[in-house]
Amino acid sequence: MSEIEMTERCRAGDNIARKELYEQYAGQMLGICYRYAGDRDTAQDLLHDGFVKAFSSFDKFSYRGEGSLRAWLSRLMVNISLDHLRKNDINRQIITFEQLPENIEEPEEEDISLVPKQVLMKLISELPDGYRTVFNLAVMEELSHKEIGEKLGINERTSSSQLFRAKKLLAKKINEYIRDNNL
Amino acid sequence: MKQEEEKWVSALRNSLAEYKEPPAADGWENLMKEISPAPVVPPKRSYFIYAAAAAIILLLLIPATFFLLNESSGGVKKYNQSAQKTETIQSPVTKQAEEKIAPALKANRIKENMLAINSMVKSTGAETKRGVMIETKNLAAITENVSEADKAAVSSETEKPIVIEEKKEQIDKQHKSTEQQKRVQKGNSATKRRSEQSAERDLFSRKRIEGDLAIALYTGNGSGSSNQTSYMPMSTVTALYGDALLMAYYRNSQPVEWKHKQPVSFGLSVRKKITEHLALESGATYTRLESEGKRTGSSLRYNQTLHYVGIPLRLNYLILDKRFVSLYLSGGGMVEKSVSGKMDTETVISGNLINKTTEDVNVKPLQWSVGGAMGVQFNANKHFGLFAEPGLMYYFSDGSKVETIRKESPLNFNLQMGLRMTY
Repeated sequence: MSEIEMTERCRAGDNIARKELYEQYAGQMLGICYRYAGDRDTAQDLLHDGFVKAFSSFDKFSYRGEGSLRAWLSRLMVNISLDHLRKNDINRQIITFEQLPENIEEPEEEDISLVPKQVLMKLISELPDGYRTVFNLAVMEELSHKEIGEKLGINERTSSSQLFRAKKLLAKKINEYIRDNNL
Repeated sequence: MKQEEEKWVSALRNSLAEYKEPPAADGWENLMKEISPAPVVPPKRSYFIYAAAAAIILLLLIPATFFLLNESSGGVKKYNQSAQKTETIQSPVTKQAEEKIAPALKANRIKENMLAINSMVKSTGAETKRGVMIETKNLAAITENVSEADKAAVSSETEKPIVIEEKKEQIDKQHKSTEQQKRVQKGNSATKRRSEQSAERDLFSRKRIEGDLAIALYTGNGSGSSNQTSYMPMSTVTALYGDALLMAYYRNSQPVEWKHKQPVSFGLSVRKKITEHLALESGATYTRLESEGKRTGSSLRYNQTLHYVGIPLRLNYLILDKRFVSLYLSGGGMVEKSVSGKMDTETVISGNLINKTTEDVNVKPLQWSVGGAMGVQFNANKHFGLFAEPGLMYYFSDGSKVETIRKESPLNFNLQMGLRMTY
């Protein structure tokens, strides 16, 4: 089924098309939800909620070319995830600063490819909620700090410093992993 | 003010961009339980559309083949008449015409001789070709001039119309027939009223469960116009021009080529169920027949409009009755009567309208027809539906000499479409 056909049929409520949509995108979307949720069980719930919402709001989606369907789904999943995090009051968590060592050596570009993707995902999920959220939005979703500020209800500077700290922490974890596994 | 991203961060993003986590095995199952079942309409809709499309195609194929066969066998028929043959032409005659004709009976013989001479000149070819041509040209010149002045000089000798002896008898008959016609018309409308009344009585006396009575409003279209060539009714020409030479020209020249326009009809029908599958249908129909005629070489253009009122009677057999689609067969007949008609004659020379006259056209006899159709009805709900009935109708010759599309092609494919309300 082409993307357009799938879109049209999902819009019409065709269950065959919906199933195909799920099968095609569930994996990636679960990855997104996991990045935000931090644990697999919550991620699975968010995935479920995300698809329920997607199926019922296809009328708001208009196909704009290849990749637009995936982009729309991704945004939807991110928003569902953020709503969940908001309910768990991450804002308070954002304000909590971690004490970080001053000198953290950043990993080399090539080092990243040494680390398995599942591990990278796991390391991200281990970040504190606030850092993790900002990191995801800034690095993975590539939002500006202004946009992040609007989305999370924090100001730009907070977002920026959160990202800084998130990166520092992640860098440390990655280096540790590489060292621990003799990579 | 976004600082350049660290390379490792970009690498991280790229690495995880297409990352997939395996979802739980019962993920889709759980989802299915929660999402609303697919709306009933779309799957049914596609069935509906395909069924309707298939039905229409089938219905149109059968009569269409008939229609195509009919088209090829029809076509332009040319009638040519020599001066000697006297054609008894029927009727459109007005009082005005009668006045012109009556006093001219005397001139009859003289004119006929003139015609005979002219025709002989042409047919024997005694003269040289050039001579004949001159003759024709002169004739044409004369007729042209005459036609312009014709109205003014009705009484003068030279412009007495040529009338066949039988004509007088016909005029007398016509008198009687117009009276008779009026009586028939009255009778028809009375019958119509009576039939409507009895239908109404049936409604009330035998009140039944819903769904057995339907009223429909429809419009019908017959098959396209056809070209038919036939003689202009003598009497009409007589009435309009009253000129011997002109008459002569007509007789020996090209016949009238008729272009019959597509008939337009509207109707109201009442249908009553008699058994589970059978229903009887009747009502009233109005049809307009329009035709354009002209002769090559003549500057006259004719425009004939006839208005018919008819009463159909049909038997319907219900083949299929589903929620959205119904299919049925319909067969029966209709009797129609022309209630009014007119013939406009325009004289157009060099694109200019020189003269225009109108006369009434009375078609005395009734028009009988029989036919059958297949009906497909799309029901919006229990009470309202849109229907289409493509079918064939055969129009019996009404014995009149008035040329209509029904004379030209008696077997017609037609399509009736309308709204049906069922109670």
